Amino acid sequence: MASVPAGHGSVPLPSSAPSPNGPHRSRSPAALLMRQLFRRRLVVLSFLIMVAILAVALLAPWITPFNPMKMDILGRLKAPSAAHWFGTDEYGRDVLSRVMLGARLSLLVGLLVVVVATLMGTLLGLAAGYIRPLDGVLMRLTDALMAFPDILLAIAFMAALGPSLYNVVLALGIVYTPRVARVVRAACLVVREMPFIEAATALGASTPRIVFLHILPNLISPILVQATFIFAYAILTEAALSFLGVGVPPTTPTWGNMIAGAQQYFQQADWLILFPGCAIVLTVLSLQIVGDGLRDALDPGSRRRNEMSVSLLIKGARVIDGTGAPWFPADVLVEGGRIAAIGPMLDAPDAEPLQAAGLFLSPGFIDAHCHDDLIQLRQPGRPEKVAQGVTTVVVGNCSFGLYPQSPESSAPLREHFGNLLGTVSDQETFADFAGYRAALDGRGTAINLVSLVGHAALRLAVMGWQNRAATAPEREAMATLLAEQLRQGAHGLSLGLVYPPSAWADRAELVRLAEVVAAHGALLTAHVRSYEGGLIASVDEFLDLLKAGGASGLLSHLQAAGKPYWGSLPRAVERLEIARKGGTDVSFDMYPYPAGSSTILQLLPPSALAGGVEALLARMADADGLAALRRAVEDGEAPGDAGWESKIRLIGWENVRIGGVSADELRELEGLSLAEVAATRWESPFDTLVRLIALDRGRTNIVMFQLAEVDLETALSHPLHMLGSDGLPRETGKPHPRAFGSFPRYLARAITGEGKLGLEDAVRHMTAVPAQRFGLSDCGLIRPGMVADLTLFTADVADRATFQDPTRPPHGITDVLVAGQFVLRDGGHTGARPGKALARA
Amino acid sequence: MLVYIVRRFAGMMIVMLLVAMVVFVIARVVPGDPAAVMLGSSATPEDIAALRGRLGLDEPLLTQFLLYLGQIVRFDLGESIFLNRPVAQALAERSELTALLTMMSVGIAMLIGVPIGILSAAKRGGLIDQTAVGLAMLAASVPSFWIGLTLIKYLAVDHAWFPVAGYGPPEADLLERMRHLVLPAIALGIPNSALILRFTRTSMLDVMSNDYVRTARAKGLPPLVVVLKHALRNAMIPILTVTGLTTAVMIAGAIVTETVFGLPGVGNLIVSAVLRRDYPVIQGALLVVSAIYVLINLTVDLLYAVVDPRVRY
Repeated sequence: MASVPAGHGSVPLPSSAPSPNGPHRSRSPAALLMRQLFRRRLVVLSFLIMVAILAVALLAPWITPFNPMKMDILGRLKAPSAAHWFGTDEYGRDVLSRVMLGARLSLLVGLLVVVVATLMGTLLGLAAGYIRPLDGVLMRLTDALMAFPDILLAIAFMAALGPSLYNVVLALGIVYTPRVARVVRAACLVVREMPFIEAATALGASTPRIVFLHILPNLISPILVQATFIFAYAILTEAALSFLGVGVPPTTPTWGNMIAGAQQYFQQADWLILFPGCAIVLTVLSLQIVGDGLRDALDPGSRRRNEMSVSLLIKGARVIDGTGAPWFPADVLVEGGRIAAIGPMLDAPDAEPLQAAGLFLSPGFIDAHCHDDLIQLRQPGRPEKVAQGVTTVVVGNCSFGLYPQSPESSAPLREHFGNLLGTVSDQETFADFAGYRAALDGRGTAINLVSLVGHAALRLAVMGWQNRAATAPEREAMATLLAEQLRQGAHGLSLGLVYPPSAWADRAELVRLAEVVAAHGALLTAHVRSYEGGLIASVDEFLDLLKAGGASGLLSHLQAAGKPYWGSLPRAVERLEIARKGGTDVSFDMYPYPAGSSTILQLLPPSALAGGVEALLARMADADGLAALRRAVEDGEAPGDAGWESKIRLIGWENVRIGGVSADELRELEGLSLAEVAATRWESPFDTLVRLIALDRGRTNIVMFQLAEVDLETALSHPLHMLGSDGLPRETGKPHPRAFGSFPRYLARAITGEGKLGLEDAVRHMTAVPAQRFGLSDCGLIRPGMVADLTLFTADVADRATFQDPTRPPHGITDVLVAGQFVLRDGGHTGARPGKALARA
Repeated sequence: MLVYIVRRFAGMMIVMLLVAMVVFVIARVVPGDPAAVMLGSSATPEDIAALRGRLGLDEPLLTQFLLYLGQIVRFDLGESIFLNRPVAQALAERSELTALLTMMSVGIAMLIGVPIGILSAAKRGGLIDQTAVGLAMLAASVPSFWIGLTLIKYLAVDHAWFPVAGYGPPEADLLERMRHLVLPAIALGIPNSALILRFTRTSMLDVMSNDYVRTARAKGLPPLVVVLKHALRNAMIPILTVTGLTTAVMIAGAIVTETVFGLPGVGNLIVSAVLRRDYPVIQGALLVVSAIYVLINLTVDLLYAVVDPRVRY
């Protein structure tokens, strides 16, 4: 992990809170952290141990401290010492050297057994799985072989063949062949039914060609996993055979026959059995852990039932299918990551059952608007989103994104993004969508991601940080760069018309980019120029862009901010309705909180930001500059910024709260309003603001209480609305709770009747509506064939994140599946990472 | 139900027929003349010819196999070459110890596996759970003979809490004999507790996601009652299954353990037979042990219906 959350207010691990469903579900954060470390680090560590043991085995003849065969009768049965770390045996031979040499044969036997059993088992399994008439005979034969306990069958073969290295390999090879054969047969039966095999058959491919070229490559994962376990078992069984005296003859040391040979002496010299025994345990344990890890990574089909299942039957849930239709009781069958069937009393004996009576089952929620670009990279488990039932997030909003960049734009891009979300490293911005996508998919993420191209990134890559209109060649360069991102799979373009540098674009530039968006059938979204007095004009500006460019649009977090403008939201919505009647495809998103959140620089007029934060700080240091700024913020006088209004004048200092700071020494200010901070310091709030900007270099996150409930409800219940949290996840501080509670809060509003919408409509606003908006044609509904992104929740679902305690996980979301895999189970994060960066179809 | 039992029994007979075939083949893949191998280098050609005749080695292979099957059906497992008595008798003499050892080991494996498995499931994902799952993996990686030797060294030699080896004098009572089996049973039980632990945990987790457990909890029952009374009962079926499987595995595991502790059981008989190439004993023991193994599996399947009234065949 690039960053480990620490301190209060950090992004929490969701299951760290008392769980709603009883004691067995609670987990301490320490346990969860250990589990995460364990998950990956233990497997890696075990793998390294394996490599080390293999290296010792390979190099043993050259690196043993003593000649393992050299006897020294005077130095016999000496306890471990500086000279002989593991002591000496009954002939005075060095035990360490013999353990090292023993590794050679023990591992060689294990490896050869793996080769023999894998080869024979694969051939048998393929034959049984593909040539149906052979199946019955071969499987009965493996039944018969498996009717003997491993060790007994091996002993019997050794009795017949006589003790020798190759006979041990042959005997154990035969013993473990049925295990491989069964796994291969089972996997082969699945693969042979796949369309591409049918296609190969139809093309006239020969049976050997189909089996070895088409089927076998798809079976490598289960075979590899099985081989690892057989390696482990073979080492254990070989040790037992050697111990019994029917294994490898004692002339060559193996760990097993070393222990066997020490039987007469170990009562005085326990080191004789201690060290070879530890070598066996260490090797077998490492192999088993690597095997488990491999299985989790490669072979989802056989992953442990607790963590996922290929086939899952959700029984008796109240299904809310996403269309807005009333809930109905049904069983839902999930197979191969997709919804296979829906209906009453489904019968699927092979599927893992999940009792869901009394729970609501809905499509996984889609967060239509958030700023999770960076956190998706840094905390791919996304506990705070998973805990809310969110399975897909839309990032790259309000012109902020992590791509595209040119070599020169990397630094300004990082600064621009950093103003919103804290420091960004140069490893975290990307040349294009493909790079961002590869970074995400390489890490693996718990939930899916849809990405918009940030207009700021686009503009910075082409023309740098410049407060002027783009020239015609610059416009074309941006158009070309944008088209490339859209072709790679980005879902659209986001504007941030209040945020420089996006705010500096003229109509020609915006229309040109809208045309590119339209040409690719993508989406244009905008944080419009004003949500205050200029709201209607700003909406009209966006509608004009959509119409001129021919693009489909999504207006971000539609709201009427500032007391003087409360009540103007219905007029804004009406503009959208009229535009739709005129043929412009537009809708909007909004979060269910009366407060908004942004960067502290939003309190200043855009012209103050020309030249970046450094220029601003320089201007603030100058008395004239500071006075101008004070006039702008306190009195709203900003001659250089036509149409701009001072937030402070609209909502007052007491309604601007410090959310998250970047400088550690300012931590204590988090959660306080600017008015409160100013009062404790006996200074004017403006002076507080200026000092805060200077000390935190503009990287402060603020929460602004600025909306009327009635406006909020109008937005949230409007048919064109979809839910977007606008979450600004920061790793520290008291961020806006919307990143931690938007979805359960919206559900709770519907269930309690606080909101006008019913539950089914509320679900629709979080599933089918955004899925359709972003062109995600295979999710957002519960229908056969859809990807199984699903959320289960109780009827008393509710958010618990507040402005005072913004990171508390919600109550009542019990299970979440992404592509058929549990990411949340019984309220606990599973650690699974089935999510993808989705490319536009 | 009856039809199911008959069908399962028929299936088992087929498997046993194949087992017999494997056992038969094993004795025939011996390089060279089995009779010569059995009698060793000092045997005269006459002895070899006589043994060949007695074993029917001059007949065609199929005839030999049918003869062999005929013997098995009559519970005639042949004569031991070295013990001068029928194989069946030799096995019977040794079976008490192995049966006792297996039962004690199963007991120990369950004593370790079931409670920790339950605790692990109840504290799912917690430190206890992580530790338990880790320990289970460790236990499954340790050779039982190594545990045996270690126990002997520290508990029998260094502290003399338990006998070092053997089964006590023949006149010793059952309790005394069981005392001799404590360490062997621990050595055998520990590695096999791992599987029981994992199964108990998984099975409890499955059950605890059920409605009635939710209800039990919702009506305010103490967690302990919910876990032990409501969940455990229904989780017992898979736990019993795996215990059955483990029992079968332990019968084979006894081979190694008996060697470690010098116990005169079936395992010891098999090992000495292998070292002396006493093929009739090896074959007989193989047949009997795998028959028990298969029978246990069948019994477990049939027990389902007894333990769980919902299961109908």
